[in-house]
Amino acid sequence: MSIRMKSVLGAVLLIFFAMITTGCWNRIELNEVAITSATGVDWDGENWIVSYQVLIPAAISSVMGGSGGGGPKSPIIVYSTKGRTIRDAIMHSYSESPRKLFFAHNRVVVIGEKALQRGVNELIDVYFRNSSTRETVSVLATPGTARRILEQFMQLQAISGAGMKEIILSEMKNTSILPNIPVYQLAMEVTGDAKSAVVPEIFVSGKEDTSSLESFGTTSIPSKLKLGRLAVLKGDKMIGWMNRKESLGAAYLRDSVQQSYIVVPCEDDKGNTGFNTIHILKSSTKVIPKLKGKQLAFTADVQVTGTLMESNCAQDLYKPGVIQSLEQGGQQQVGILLQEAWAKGQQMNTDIFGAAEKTHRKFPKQWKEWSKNWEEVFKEAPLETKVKFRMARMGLSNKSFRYLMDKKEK
Amino acid sequence: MPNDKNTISSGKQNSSLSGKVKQAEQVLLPDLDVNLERLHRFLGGGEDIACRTLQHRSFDNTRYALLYIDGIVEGTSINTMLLSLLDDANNQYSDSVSGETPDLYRHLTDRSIAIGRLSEVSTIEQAGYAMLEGCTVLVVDGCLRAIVMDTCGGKTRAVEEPSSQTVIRGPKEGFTENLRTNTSLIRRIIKSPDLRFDYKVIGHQTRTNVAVVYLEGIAEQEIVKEVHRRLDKIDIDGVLESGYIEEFIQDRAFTPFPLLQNTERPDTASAALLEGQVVIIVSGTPFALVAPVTFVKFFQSSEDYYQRYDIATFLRIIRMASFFISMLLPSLYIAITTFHQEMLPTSLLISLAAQREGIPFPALLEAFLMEITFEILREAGVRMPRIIGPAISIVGALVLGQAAVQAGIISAAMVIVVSFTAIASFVIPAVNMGIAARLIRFVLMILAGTFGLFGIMSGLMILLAHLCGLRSFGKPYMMPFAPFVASNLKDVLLRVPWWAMRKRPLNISSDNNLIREGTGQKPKPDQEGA
Repeated sequence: MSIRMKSVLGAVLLIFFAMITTGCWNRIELNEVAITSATGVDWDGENWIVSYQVLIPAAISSVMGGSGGGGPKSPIIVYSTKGRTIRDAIMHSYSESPRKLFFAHNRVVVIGEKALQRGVNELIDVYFRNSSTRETVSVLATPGTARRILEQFMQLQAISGAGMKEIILSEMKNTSILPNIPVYQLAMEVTGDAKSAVVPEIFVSGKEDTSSLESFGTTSIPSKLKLGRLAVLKGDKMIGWMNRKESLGAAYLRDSVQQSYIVVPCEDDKGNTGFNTIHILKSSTKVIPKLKGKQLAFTADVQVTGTLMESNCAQDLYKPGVIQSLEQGGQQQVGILLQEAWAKGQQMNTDIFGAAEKTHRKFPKQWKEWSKNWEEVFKEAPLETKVKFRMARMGLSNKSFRYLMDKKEK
Repeated sequence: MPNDKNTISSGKQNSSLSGKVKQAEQVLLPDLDVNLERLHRFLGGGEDIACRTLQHRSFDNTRYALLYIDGIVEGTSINTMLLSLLDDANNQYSDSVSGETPDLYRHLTDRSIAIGRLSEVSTIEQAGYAMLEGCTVLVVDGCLRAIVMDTCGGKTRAVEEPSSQTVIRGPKEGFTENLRTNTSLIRRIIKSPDLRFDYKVIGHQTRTNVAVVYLEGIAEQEIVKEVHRRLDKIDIDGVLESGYIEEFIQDRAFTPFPLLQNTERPDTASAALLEGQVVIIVSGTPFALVAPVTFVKFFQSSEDYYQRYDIATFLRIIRMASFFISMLLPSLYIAITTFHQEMLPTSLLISLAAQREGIPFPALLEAFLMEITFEILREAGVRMPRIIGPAISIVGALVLGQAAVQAGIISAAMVIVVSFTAIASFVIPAVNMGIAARLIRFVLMILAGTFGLFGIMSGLMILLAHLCGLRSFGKPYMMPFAPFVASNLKDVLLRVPWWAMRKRPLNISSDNNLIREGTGQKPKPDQEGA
């Protein structure tokens, strides 16, 4: 055997032993991790309380797959740790959990109202500094403690953390009242020109908690997790809530409406009133800053396309005039939504609509002046709405059934 | 009777004697008995040596003898020849015939022996080696030369369907252990005067016949020469299978990848010849070698060219994918479940985690256990007597599929991974490429268990560098990817229709002769007819 062969063999052996004797880098087996599906953050006045909703895989697969004997087992378990900082609290989990907390599959982070009032800076820092956490986690606000939210079971979804994410995503896609705010977006809004952000609310609807599997023995569960209002943050601190109507208006102004619906009052020839429900298929909004003299003003240019979903008036939808009146009604409704949201924003003195950014882009020179007291400028700025509402389709039947009935009566 | 000097047997004699037998050669002497005695001694005087002495009436009762080794000669041709010889020996020819040249030797070769192919030898060694080939030697008293008659034959296996390289559509003939049968199978497919068979004898003791087959003008001359050069360098006592030769003539010794293709199929061999490759047929094995060969060739089946091009392309992609699955799947599973859990969809993660509850071993060890178990089962399946096959498969299925999972030793997901890997490894048409994937799989599993995906990536990079450095008879192994040869891509992952493959593969076939079909043969709707 030549010397070269010997040295090559030696090197191979050394590498092999180095690989098997030094142990494996950051190897962690699947049964050594505690998969966290939701995290809650609360503030008790002195300490952060971080709660974890941890999955119990065996219990979940028996819930999902049906196999695995014994009585019903809870698929999730919730526990909390306390610390002066968020990471401090998380570190305390090592002294009570047999497995290492694993955050990569965390779906939502629920922030209690008190913690939200204290500020989200620390939380965002934790998310951006550590590689184990993902910035795509959805942020939710809750009026009570976050821990209570994590403790709730949910219908149809064994893992309520994942369920909460699914609710917010489907809500955003289908009605667009509340936006899904991932951590990175929260960070961007908090640090943006306007220095204000929004967080959707989740709350327990009902008096009792649904935190026992026994609740699922009946067809209705005592309480449910529901999405509610919109928490408004100024800087990184929460200053108040916007109701659902205002938050829909805010969604239009933020151009985050994907699909939504709107209820438009109508009146037929005989003077009977009713409602038309219009499904909004497409919507785009441009908020354009304008100078009126020295004063800053905004124009919201909204283009909405909708289809009729329900009609309660005796209308002949063959007539173009009827459709026009429908479109006008829609325009009016959307315009009202926008104005209400704008007024609320001004009243709360926060610019959650991204108006500051747009102004900065359009008037970079004046911005230097305005940025010093943007709150004042924003408060004074009027909003003009230009809504273009287009009815694309009437659904499968053209004449409303009320109309057909009225005709027969004649 | 035309006496072809370039018959197989004489060719073999020359090449064998030039190198192997160096001591003074024993020349045939005029005395028949001495010659017979020496020939017997040369061959060790076994019982299977048959000797028949005759006397010819017309030539002063001159004695001559037929010698052959029983069992390796074709009995019927010996018998017919003997009949005609006896008939001839009893004839009293008129003076006009015998008066011309009273030479029994000429008389026998020209008028009496009923065998197609004759040649002559002048030493005992030559005669003895010819007999070992299955030839019959005719020694005439008083003559310094002997006649060698090609009577090779004896019991050989019939041409059967290839057992390891099967197709659904395509010829069902396979090579056999008999060299002559194999060359005839190729001759029957390619009826070209350009088809060349160069014969060699390799192995001091086995004296195995080897044929180097190529198409003159299509194969690159340099490669043919190189094949000859490498074959001539082989110095070994025995060659029992083409694998012996493969290891001697491949370009690099240390590589898990096969640098020569082997085939049991005459049609595959012929296709290789038509693309300018050289086929090496070794006597005693149905597996012929093909060189030079590229990596992608191992994923092509002869059936690709018999089926429609669309399904052929699809199947090639499936085979490539299977190669990567069989090489990578266990290591990817290990890497992702122990290092990169965040890459899994949550529901899959939960289901995997639930299965892993209570499994005592880390994923790497678990995978190793199962892979080794499977390799043992596979090897048992190949080695065991056919009769107990069902027993092994029942035990295997129970051990692998059921008991290990129910006992909580192995997770169900791992069983799925291992069995899928195993099935994928059977898809690769070339068994030797499948073996390469099997070996690399274990290395990659260790890398995955220690460094995760990073380890797999570094392993694959080293592998790629290694592959790009390989040569098969001087031709880059990774062609047409490295070096990139665009025109060859028509027949790599894709198999374009036949009318679109006008040229033979560049860099494999001879550069002067690349066009293999005419232009404009794409079928079109018949306009005149309509």
